[in-house]
Amino acid sequence: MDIRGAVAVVTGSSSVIGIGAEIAKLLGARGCNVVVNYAGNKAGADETAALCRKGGAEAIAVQGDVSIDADCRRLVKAAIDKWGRLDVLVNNAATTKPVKHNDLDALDAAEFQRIYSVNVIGAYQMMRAAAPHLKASGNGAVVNISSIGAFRAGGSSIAYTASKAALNNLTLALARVLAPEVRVNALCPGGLVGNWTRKILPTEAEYQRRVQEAETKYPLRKPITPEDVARAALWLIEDASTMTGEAIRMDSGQHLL
Amino acid sequence: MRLDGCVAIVTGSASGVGAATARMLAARGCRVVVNYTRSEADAEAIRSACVAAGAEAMLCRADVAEDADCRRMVAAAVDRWGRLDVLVNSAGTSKLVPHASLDGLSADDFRRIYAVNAIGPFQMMRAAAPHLRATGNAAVVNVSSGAGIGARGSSIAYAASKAALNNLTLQLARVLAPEVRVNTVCPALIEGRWMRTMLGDRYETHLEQARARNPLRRVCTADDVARTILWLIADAGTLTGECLSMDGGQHLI
Repeated sequence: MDIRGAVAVVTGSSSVIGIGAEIAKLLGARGCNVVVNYAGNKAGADETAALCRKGGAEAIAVQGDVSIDADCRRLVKAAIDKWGRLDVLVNNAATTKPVKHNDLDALDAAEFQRIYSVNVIGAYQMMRAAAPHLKASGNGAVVNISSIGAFRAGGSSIAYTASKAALNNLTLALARVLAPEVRVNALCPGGLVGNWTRKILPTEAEYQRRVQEAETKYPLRKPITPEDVARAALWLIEDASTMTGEAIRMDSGQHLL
Repeated sequence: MRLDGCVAIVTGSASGVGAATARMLAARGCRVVVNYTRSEADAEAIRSACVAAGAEAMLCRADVAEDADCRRMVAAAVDRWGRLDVLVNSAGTSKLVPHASLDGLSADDFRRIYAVNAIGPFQMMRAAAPHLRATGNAAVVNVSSGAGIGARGSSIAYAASKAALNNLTLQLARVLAPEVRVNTVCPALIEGRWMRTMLGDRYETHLEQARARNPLRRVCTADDVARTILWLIADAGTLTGECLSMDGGQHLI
């Protein structure tokens, strides 16, 4: 799929240090126009959009909380109003609350609902709003950014990993109903490093422990970076034309341990 | 991983996925051993195509079911170019037997198919391992099949051998890390000579039906699979022990 002149919405792409922005930048560098979505970080979204434009494409920053259906529809409409088409949707917006898995009392139903609303219902609402336009493109692609937590239930909290398992399941269901015009796949990184991870981990020491664990224990002896995930997303969009309903694990071989 | 100046062995590269992979590797500047068992003229045509694409290439007649042949093939690459960075195990065999026809498959059929499809890749990986490790950043891709996941395909013996190959991929990924990544592609039906030979008169109808049933309304081409193999080799630096299903969404039905 040649994405020059195509149009993409990337949710949660406002933080220039995160996966969403990395994907937006790569799309921009390939000549794909991008809606850079943010929930609260307008300055970051403007910066990401500027970086997308550096690659030669057009980009706009649009506020929207994917857990709110009206916002999802508005995001899609922004792409259509500006460029008249939508070919690519990357569901990257996500949230979590770090809670030790054995501390069951620290997670309540409200936390579960909040995380589910963004990570699962958000992706669903985005796919629903985008579906007619992706179908009309004739060669649409959705990439859901999930997590290795979906498979092995390890990660920032039980509510987070449960939501990612649900997102993988949504990937199957939507791949089925949106075929043949739209491919829907998921990426499941595990062991991410970079400034985003550094920011969400409670201490620098904890971050350094994660890096060290990757470099000494993972079979490939290296962590996963936002750039790795972005390149894989681009591959799914541009080149994986026979794949739909797949969840691609990116874990430096951790599942072999 | 930059392929320019690297060395690859692609087993079973006289036709189909192996041939497409050899040509794409060569186009990226990777030197290639083109392996075949019987189709010398076809293999020579692929070798010439690789050279035309800008990389050196050599022919090696070898049967991966024979360990001595595997070792000879690896030695040929290392003797000529002094290194080995990439191994693509594409050589495979089958026998077309309807799954319900249990009497149509003998133990010998099972053994012959297993020898090429599973023991062959094992022997190739074993022979190549020290050289792959020495590069510090090597890749193996095993060409398996959707049959190895869903137990469909040309025969029960074929599907079982591909499931075994998927398992080998896990094992070898574990023991060859961190220097060598080992992954598998599992394409469903691939159009082209292999299927045409196997299905004869039924080929066109079979293909048409497969397309009509498929969620993405398509079947794989050898080039589709080769492009995925190239991605696994050149760009999937955080993946090892993975099996990529390429089935146009067939598993969703």
